[in-house]
Amino acid sequence: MGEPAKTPEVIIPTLERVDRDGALLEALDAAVGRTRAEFLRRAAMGSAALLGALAAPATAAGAPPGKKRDTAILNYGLAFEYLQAGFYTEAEQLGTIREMSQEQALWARTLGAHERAHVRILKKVLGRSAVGKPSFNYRGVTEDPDHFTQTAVAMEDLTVALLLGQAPRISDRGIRAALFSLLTVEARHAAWARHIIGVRPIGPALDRPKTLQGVDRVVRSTHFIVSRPRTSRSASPRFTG
Amino acid sequence: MSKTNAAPAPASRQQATRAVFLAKGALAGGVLATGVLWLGGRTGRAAQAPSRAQDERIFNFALGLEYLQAGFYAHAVEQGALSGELLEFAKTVGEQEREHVAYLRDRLGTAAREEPELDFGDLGADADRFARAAFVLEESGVAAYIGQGANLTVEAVRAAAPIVAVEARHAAWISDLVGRVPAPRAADAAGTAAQVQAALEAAGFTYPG
Amino acid sequence: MSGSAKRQTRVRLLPALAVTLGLIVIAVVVASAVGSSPPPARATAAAAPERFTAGAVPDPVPPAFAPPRPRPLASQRGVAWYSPVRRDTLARAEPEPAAAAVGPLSTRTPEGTRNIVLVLGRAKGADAGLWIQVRLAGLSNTTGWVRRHALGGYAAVHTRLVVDLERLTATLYRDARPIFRAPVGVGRPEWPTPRGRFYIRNKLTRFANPFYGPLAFGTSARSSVLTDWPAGGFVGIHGTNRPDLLPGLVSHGCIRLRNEDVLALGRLMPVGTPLTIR
Repeated sequence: MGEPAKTPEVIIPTLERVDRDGALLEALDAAVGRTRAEFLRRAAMGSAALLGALAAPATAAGAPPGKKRDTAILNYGLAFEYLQAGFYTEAEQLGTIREMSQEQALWARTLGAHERAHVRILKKVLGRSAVGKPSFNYRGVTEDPDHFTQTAVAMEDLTVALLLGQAPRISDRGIRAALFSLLTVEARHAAWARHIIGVRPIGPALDRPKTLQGVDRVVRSTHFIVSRPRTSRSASPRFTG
Repeated sequence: MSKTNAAPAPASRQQATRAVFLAKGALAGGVLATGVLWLGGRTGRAAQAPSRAQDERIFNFALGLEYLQAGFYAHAVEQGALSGELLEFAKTVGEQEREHVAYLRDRLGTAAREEPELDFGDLGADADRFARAAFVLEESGVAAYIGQGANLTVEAVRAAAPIVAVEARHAAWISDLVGRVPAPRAADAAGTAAQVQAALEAAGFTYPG
Repeated sequence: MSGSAKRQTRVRLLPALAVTLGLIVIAVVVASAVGSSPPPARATAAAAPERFTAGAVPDPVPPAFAPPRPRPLASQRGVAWYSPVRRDTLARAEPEPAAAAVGPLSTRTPEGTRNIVLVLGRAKGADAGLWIQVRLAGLSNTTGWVRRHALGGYAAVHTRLVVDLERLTATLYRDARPIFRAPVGVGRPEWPTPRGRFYIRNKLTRFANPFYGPLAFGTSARSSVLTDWPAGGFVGIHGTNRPDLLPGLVSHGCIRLRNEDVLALGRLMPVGTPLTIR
């Protein structure tokens, strides 16, 4: 006790502002469309893997309240949890977490375990309706402890914003109750992550919700979700025999 | 990061990992010690269909908690026993609880309950006691809000959800400050109003009903 | 995104409680109008706050689902990583732009599939950029360094294939444990199957060429003698229309299996699997 107080400055990193590998960030592939029309057009042209992850917001955003919309919202939630679980899991599997302090490693491992548990339950709840696991390219962020941690803060905040936006739109009260109990955990994640990077764990007095399109815009700007590489083909071999 | 003596930090990484993964269900140790289990139990008043009148009752219930929080943090800061990060917690979180009070009062309008008389005894007299009490206070708030989230009308959920997330951040912060894992579970548990009340009283708060 | 279409318009009236609340409100209004603000000391009986009965707030709605207990990650024993090549680039001997070139890395294989490399390690370059050490196609044990952004997302494989040129067997391991073994035909002495560390680069299916059987895997292993072979002279793992020759030294370098065995591999062994030929 009696340590100097943390600086009052509140840094709220956003995914758009995270410097993923600044010196090497060249122009990426054509920027994803920002308007809904462009977004839908891209989804139609994309591969099956992309469609799976991105079709959900189109349905979830437009449908009237009811089971279909609930399912679409949960599916978008599942895609998002896949993104998060993959992020923490890859960092752990690649050994990046071992480079962290004991405290930070505990944080990263715990959050990974939570997100994996979230994936499992949403998959189970959605059953056959569950969206497939997307492919991810984390572009080096899971390979550097500092980039990883900063991005984690932004991702957890985004999850909170997503759940805040969607919880009121769920018709089934039991599902809404369940989402509330996940929402608070993601908010804890976010606060813990900030504490880890040495900033005040809280932001404004009232957290801000985001629309599905808003969340999706940020997700797409990371270019973390990619199509599966085609390593199989129907073609005649020309190996040495 | 400052920690109280409430719980010893894990000695090794393995212990820490075990601690996290063996964290039992919905039980936050401090609250368990008061004999209250957050299991979303029953008080005999089954969940009712959402309605505006019920929204009001629930918001007033929440407002009561926010009054308690805002009052306690202001009181503790006044007592002058806090320093370092705990003091920062009490100041900044206290400020946010006051904003929550204003927010809920604004939404309730004339239906808002008045600020009650609160007596905190010696709960804020020293850092350790403050931290433990604040921990129970924040965890109770989270459990209460989760418990009522699905009882609200859609409009009220939209209004309440932003507060809930922030309360959870508060809870994570104070958990860290008392040496506990800020997010010990994959999902948080709901609490009934009676459980919340019991937990607060066991912690030494005079719950303003 | 409008609110619930099925909004409850009925309001459950609880007359007794409503009246009580009304009285409380009135009492508070009267008290504050009459007296000045009370001292911030212990509450007196006269100003005792009314208790909000717990029964007035309903029970929580039971959550429709709850996640299982969180679990730590399983051991990473026997796990390897691969990544698609996202940009044509040059693999270098060291993690820096001026280092000697090891060889070009193309986004496509001669078979028309996306090229992949094994991910072996990483390093921060002098410019603080991330460099990745990869195993790439070529002669034995070809490795090099590329910039991270030349690669795509990482994928894990839990399997490993070991081909033994003395015993003439192929053994598949999963999580470091053997799960499948089959006899193989390998290169004749004049066209030896190269020894070393490689990986499975692609899979070809649905072709009509009985010489290769029903299924063929492309490897990253390049024959050191068949340098003029069209399509690069890469060693494949495939079926055969001459199972009677197996096991034996029979091919131009390829690893041949009985058709039923290569089909089994097709079910058990994903592309990206590391391959050791010894």
